[in-house]
Amino acid sequence: MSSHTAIKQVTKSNFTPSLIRELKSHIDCCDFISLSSIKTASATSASPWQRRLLPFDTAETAYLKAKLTAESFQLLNVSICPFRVEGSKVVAFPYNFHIFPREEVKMGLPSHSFSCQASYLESLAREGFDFNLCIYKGISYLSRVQESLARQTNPTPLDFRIYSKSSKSFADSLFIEGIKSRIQYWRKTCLASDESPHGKTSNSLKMLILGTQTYGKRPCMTIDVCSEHQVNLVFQTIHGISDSLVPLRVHDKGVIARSVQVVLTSSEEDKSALLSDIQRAEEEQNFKLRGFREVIDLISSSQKPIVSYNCLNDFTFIHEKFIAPLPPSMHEFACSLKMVFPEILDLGHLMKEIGPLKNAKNVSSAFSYLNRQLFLPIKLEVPFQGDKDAEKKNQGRNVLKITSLFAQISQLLKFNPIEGHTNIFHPISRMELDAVSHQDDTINHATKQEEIAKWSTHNLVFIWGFNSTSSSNLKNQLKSYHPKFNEDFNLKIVDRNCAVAAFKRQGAVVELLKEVEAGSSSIENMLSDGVRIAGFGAYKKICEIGLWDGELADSLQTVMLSEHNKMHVSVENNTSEIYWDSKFMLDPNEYLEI
Amino acid sequence: MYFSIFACVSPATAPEKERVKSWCVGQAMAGRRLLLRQRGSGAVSSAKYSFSSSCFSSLLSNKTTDKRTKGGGGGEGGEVKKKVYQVKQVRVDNFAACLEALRPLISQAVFVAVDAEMTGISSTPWRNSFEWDSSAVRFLKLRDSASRFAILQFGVCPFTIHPSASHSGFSLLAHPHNFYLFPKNHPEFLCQISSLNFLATHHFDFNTCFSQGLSYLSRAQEEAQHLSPSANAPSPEHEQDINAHVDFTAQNTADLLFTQRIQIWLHEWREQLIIMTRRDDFIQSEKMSCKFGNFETTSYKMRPAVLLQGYTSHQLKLIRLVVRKHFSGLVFVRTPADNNTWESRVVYTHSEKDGASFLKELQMDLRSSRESSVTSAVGFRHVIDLLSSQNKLIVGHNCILDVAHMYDKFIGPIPSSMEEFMREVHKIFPNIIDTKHIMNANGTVQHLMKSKSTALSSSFSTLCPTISSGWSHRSTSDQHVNVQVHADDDGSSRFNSGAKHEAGYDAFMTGCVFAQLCVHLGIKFDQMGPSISDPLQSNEKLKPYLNHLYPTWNSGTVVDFATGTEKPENVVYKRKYPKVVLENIVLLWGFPSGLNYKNLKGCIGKVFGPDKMVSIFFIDSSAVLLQFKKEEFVKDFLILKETLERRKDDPISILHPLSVIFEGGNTKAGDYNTYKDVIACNSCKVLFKDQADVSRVACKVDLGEKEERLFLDDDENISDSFYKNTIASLRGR
Repeated sequence: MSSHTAIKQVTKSNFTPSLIRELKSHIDCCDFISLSSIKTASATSASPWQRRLLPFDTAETAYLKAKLTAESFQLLNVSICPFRVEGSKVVAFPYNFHIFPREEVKMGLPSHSFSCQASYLESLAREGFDFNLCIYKGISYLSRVQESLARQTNPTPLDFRIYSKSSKSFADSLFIEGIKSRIQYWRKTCLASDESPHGKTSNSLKMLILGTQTYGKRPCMTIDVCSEHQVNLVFQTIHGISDSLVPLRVHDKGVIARSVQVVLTSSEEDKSALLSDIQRAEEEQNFKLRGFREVIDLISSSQKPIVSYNCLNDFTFIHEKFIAPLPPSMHEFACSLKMVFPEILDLGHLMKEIGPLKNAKNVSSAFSYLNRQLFLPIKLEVPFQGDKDAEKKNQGRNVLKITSLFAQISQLLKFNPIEGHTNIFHPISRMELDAVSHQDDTINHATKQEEIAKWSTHNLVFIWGFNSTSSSNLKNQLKSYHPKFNEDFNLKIVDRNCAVAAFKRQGAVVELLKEVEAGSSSIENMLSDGVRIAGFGAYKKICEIGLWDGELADSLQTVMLSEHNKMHVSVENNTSEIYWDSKFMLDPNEYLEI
Repeated sequence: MYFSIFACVSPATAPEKERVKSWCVGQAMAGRRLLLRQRGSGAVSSAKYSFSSSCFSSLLSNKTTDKRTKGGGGGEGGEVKKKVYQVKQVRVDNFAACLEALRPLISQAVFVAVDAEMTGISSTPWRNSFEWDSSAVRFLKLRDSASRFAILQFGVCPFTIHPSASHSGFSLLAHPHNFYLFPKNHPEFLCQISSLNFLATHHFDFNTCFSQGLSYLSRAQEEAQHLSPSANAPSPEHEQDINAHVDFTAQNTADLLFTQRIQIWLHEWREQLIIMTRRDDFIQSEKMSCKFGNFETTSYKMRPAVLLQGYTSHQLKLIRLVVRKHFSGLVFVRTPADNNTWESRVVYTHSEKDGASFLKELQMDLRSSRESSVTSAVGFRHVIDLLSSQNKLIVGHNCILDVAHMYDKFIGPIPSSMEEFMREVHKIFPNIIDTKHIMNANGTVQHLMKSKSTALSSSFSTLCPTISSGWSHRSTSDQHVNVQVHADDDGSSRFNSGAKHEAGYDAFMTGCVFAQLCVHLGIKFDQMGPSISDPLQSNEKLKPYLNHLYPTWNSGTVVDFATGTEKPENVVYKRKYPKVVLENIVLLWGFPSGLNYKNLKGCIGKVFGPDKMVSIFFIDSSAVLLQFKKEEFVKDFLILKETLERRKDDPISILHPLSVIFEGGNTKAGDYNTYKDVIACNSCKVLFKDQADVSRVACKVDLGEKEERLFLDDDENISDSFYKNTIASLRGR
């Protein structure tokens, strides 16, 4: 892949229906679409607990964290690359879309505010990311849900609903008669063509008196209304008078129409010309409203499989910003997403199939490994004409890396890569990999297998309120509190104030928590030292109700108090399995892919 | 080099203006450097300043008012040509120099005008400022805003007094500076989309800000850094506990071979150095690079040394061991290098004494570099510290949000109550002036403003028409303030044309407005000497306005930072809603969507009587505040709600008029304190109802279970009888 490959940079100024048509033709001739994005944040191991994946996160809590991330941060760039593999050649059409939310319609849509991670923005700026381009010329968008909301509150000029005619009151008939005679007289005046100079003057005077305006080149008049019902009456009346009249609703910011404009057309052709003009204007407006979502809709309607890296993060963002607010559970999310994108393939999961790539931390490292170690005759071909601007600021290279990595892997595997690898959103299943050698000397492990053994969430207990700084100190401290802590358990410090212990023996945690709940005297010493414990249920609850503010220990304390200490025992029956790896520290590029 | 401008109060007539202008151009042509460029930008001149001038009110609505004023009063400002001043732009690369230059200016300054550009104003729509907010709620919103958003630009403009260039007496000299800031030391900050778009329309350079912005550290953060053990991390190796490594011996053959080789090389290197020193051509030996394996002799702190490159940390440990064991004259040092890496060297010393002095030197060096790294992290705060330590008179326009940001960013987290906040601010900035308050409170000024907008740029063009438009006026009336703008002689490109909504330029405008206001108050700058024996802040004429800040556009009050009190402003303020009585208010959220003003008024009127509810205010689409006529209705309402919910399946409950509101079972209610608690909650949900639901979880913990059923447990009988009464009254209809 040459470094000069042109990536089409798309901003507000060149985002047009013709670009969409071009993209559509490229998608139609391709087999896959790869996708990557740049957001305003990237999780690092220094991030607080709610921003990074922790070793004990289940699929569910991982989703809830990704949901929080997608809700608070903003997408800045989305790169889309339709491609097809032809033997050893990959034909790719990379596009990079600059995105920025703008209030094109009122009501605080698409969003009111977003968070930024200062250190990440700084590193983006250092790499030459153009924030000005993004904020000045980024394409706005509305999600599907937001668009339908906007439609409800902003009816189009031709919109009107037929109400039952029986509900005409006396006032209604008066109103109808009034406007009927007004419109008829006005129409007659307009049609009267007195060509003499005198007639012209008197005619234009008449028009002036009647309040004639023009709609484009056509004459029109305005009828004030005060309710939706009256709009309906005006529409009905006009249809009764003549086919050459076209009623259009005029409304202010709100839903309620302010007036109806009646446009006089000269012929049947003229009328259809007017209607198509209005339709076109409306479509233009809608195109502007939907903005970047037009691209998402295009991908969705193509039903082509999508290749991405760490898809949970990309697709929680895409769902939140372009489809609908994220649902409260992982399962609902997966279902909802499947309706939009039937096949999503996570390159991370695919990389597991290749031995040497198992430990690759991100796309770039896997990519350079393959290029260094194996000779794969993959040639990336980008048929775009490289324009000069794109050469300078070639943002969105990652999508090309994903594309060629995918092509290389599928060539290595020599099978249809789609089968059995789509729609996996569990980010931690990557933990099934063999752990790399580690130097964490605070915990003594017998074998490697144990470190990454499957742990039931029933075996976990959260500990906070201690003031030890190392896990070995804390372990000794705990041993002095209760004999249960003499059992074999694995301890990990989450942050300054909170730790997690994973017991080897099934049932140990339940016994311990039961004792705490019953207020057993054996734990008095621990409680008076301020050390508190809770089961996994408490953590799950925090994620579910979104107690994301502050430190994990504070949130645990809050949830325990509000649940009247019933959360000690994790009550859920369907226990989840997690892959506990003491080495597992989140790689910055793993959680939120750059 | 100065260029002076006179502002006059009465607008000059058109021919006069023309004359003045041509004079102006003539002067410039006559060889003076034209520092003040003219720009024919009518659009800019009439656009109202809306960013920080109206705290909390949404930018959107402000922009629409902008348009309106533009349409209405376009005549005056619209056609007038604008004078554009040059503002010094300060970034990372020229900060140190600018700071040094700024020091004397600030200490000489009569006053210093400040202004800040933030990434946003309100984190959620319901955190906008409402008329229904008590001062406590308003403070919570202020604190939330200051803690969530970041400052991207900070304008500092000291005004000094100099002999006037054009007439006798003295005039003011402005030194506008515009600092680009970037919150490197804050992990996350919020951006309000409308604010960023607003900045973008004023050509704000985000790239410069994010890559070249100055970092800042608040006093509290700096203290925490000094205390934390990581601050001491970059200590040289020799300071650490050496004993820990003494036992470390080469364990395998490879290590043994490596140590032997190193020992030989080091020995040879030292021998050669000794020979060279004896031969007295040490200088020559420095130039000559003697190579031993990977060793290349360099000079480190005036001593010969080898830089150890390409070794693993294990090998470096071994080398260190060898040096320690076998070479008394050699010192192994590890020093921090760029990009968080370490550099290791073996340094040659002549003697034990030289070795000791070398170590001492090294220690000093490291300490100073550590200090300077903290100093550079402190960054822009040095400017604020300068202002604070000199007790300067700080002038802002509608500046309570700016002050809150200054406190949060440069001092520490804002305290939990308004009184405490004011007290703390007063300790650090004892002299603050809000020009907006002077405009609102002074009769003379109000007469002059003729009820024109008190927003910054429009008051600038109203009060200082000559400065803003760039003509000078030769008349020497008392009503003039004479402001000159200072420019460097180095002709550096750091000067940008002052543009509106650039913090530096806004600070300049604020200062000019203040200077003009002082003239109206009877303070004469032209009779002040350059030496300020009598500081401006102790001037009796200014006293009534000192430390009086304008809280928000719709409070009708003014806060006094010196006493920590809030009092009603003299100006009669027109309220949109009837007077708010906090005790009579019920908060309602989570009701069925589509419930509107009419429905609410209707069904509550049915139960309590049509005139018992004073007003309804929608916080957003999901929550509403209802104000009843009397306090007891609040309690009655809450009791009724409890009762209806308890008897969910009771047919009467279903038929009850209020069931429209409670339909769906998610409707919750509370009194004004609940509203305050929800605002105080740290979450940031877009809809008020979601925020309220989150805060309830947190609230329950604080208040205990009692709160939940407070009204029911009070007196079960009352609630029942009330319930029966309402039912009876319904039957009667």
